[in-house]
Amino acid sequence: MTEPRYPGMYADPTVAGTALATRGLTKSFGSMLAVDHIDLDVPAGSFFGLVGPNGAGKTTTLSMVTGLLRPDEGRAFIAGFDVWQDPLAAKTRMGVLPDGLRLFERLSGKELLTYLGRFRGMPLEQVRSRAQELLAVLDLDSAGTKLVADYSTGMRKKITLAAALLHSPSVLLLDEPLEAVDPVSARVIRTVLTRYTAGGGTVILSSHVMALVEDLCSHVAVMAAGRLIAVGTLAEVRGTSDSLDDAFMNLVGADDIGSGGLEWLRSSPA
Amino acid sequence: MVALFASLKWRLLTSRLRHQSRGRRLAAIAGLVLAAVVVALVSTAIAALHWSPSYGLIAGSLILTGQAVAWMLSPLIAFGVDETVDPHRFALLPVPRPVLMRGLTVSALIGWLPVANVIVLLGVAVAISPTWATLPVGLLCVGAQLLICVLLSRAASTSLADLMATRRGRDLGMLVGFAVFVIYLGVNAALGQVGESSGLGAGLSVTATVLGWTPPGALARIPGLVATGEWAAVALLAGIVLATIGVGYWWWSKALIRSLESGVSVTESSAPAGDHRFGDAADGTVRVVAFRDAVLVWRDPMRRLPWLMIVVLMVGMPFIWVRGHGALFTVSFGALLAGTQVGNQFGVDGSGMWLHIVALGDRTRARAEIVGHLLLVLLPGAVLVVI
Repeated sequence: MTEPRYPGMYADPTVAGTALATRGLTKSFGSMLAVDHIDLDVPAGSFFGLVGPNGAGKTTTLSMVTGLLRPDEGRAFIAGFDVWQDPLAAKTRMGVLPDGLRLFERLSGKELLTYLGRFRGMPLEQVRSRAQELLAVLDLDSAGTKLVADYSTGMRKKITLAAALLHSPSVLLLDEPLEAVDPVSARVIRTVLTRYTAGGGTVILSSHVMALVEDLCSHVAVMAAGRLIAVGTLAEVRGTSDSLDDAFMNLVGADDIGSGGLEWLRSSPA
Repeated sequence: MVALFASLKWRLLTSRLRHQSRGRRLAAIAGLVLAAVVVALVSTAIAALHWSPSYGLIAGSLILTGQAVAWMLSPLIAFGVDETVDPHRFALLPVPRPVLMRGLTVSALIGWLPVANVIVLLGVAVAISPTWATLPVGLLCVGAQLLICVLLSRAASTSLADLMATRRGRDLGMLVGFAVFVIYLGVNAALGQVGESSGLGAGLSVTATVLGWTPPGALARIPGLVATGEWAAVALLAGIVLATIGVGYWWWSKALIRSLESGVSVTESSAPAGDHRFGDAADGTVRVVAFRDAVLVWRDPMRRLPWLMIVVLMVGMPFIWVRGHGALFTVSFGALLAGTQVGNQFGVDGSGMWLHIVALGDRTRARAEIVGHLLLVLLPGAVLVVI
């Protein structure tokens, strides 16, 4: 006889106290193994950086733990709730800024937040007041009735971040949050994220920018070829290296990439 | 929650109007009212077939079938116009799938085109009901027709949502649009020829009889069968309709799960890129430019489609549909369209034109750039005119 399904009944006792936990998470695309049996624990309240070269499996991992891509094997837990067995409970507790999210382009920023909040079951008054505050803090209130379709890249990142924060989730998952963002918007986003973790929230972000991760994160995981090759606090992962960048290059074996060849490249005209 | 979906769709629908100046908004509303009047007149004309039940049945079968096909094809041609078509926009929200499906069904019924469809369907309901007593059955049938249209349309668009978000998908959409254009020309010509031999009515009657066993055709037949008390046939046709609704719901449900759990791919390339040789710089700018344009025509659907239309106008129509003196006009029109491609090369280049100007060092190379553009249009254009 099949057992009835109750929210939380799939909880794994080993994931208690984690904001995000994965157990044997695996995904293949054809013959390519994109994510290879990942076991990851992100402590609640941490600012966690997921770094790795292009094709390391960062976006695939984030897609699987946010319920956007079904894994071939393994489980993912957000605040103790299994993302694939109890998706509604998990989605209620997470805010996501995915790569290439499609927004409702013909709504203004305020309208977009209002609808997303209402779809999450929030009372209208609460949605309105939070949306107003988020737009003001993220410097989007001046956009007024401008449609999302007319937003710049930085504005789009900020409105997506506002949508991710609107329901005050316990975990925030961000895929390249500062990519192609102007310095002013980047500063605003960093400030908001720092305030969020200071209030007890957990941020998990993927990035290529080591300086950003080193500056913001308390914990780091390094991915390469679909596997975790280093996980720990920033100091543990950096080890004896001068910077996280040096440690990363050493870990992924990219120390001498970029040297050799190009002898013809010089400043004189051809 | 379903009301929220309806509200979102209405807001998306009217946002363009709300962001226009007062004058343009009034003009747009006047246009919509005018369109509604025209559609209402068409609907009234269809309803008038109520007094000729045999023609009402034929027209009803054809209209309902055409409508179902149009609803299935419309997302391919107009994906992106309705933002609620793409289920990925709801993927991160904690909304149960049955609620999402109900909400998307309701939002599919809100819009200018669905309203036009409903007006036409009211006329069809009157036309296919041989007596006023069977009008409620007719209304029930056109309601079922609308549900089938929404389910099949949403199932098709959800199945293709990942594809349609890529350039390859939009390429496919353009090809479907082109196929519809060619089929329209073909059907138009065929009906014209049949009409000349006085067989139009007979041809349509045979077509309607065949369509009578398809779900839309079955819906057109049911009121007539109810009027004559042929209950076994009514049960059989109702079974076809209900099975279609069930299959449509199942297809959409499966497509929705697959689409929402397969991630988003936005990096898939368009038409086959391949390794094209533009020619060495030593070959001269003319050759390089002509080859570059040829490659872009092959890769870019916006450039490829005009050439496909030119081929149809200049080769297809004169040989297949429009023989004799009329062919001269289609060839002339095709030649004109080919000629416009010279200007189009600059238009489509857009900001790329500035790069060319910066890169060109002298008048000779600038002239060669122009000649290169011209060559690509003149050579195939001339060959087609000769054919």
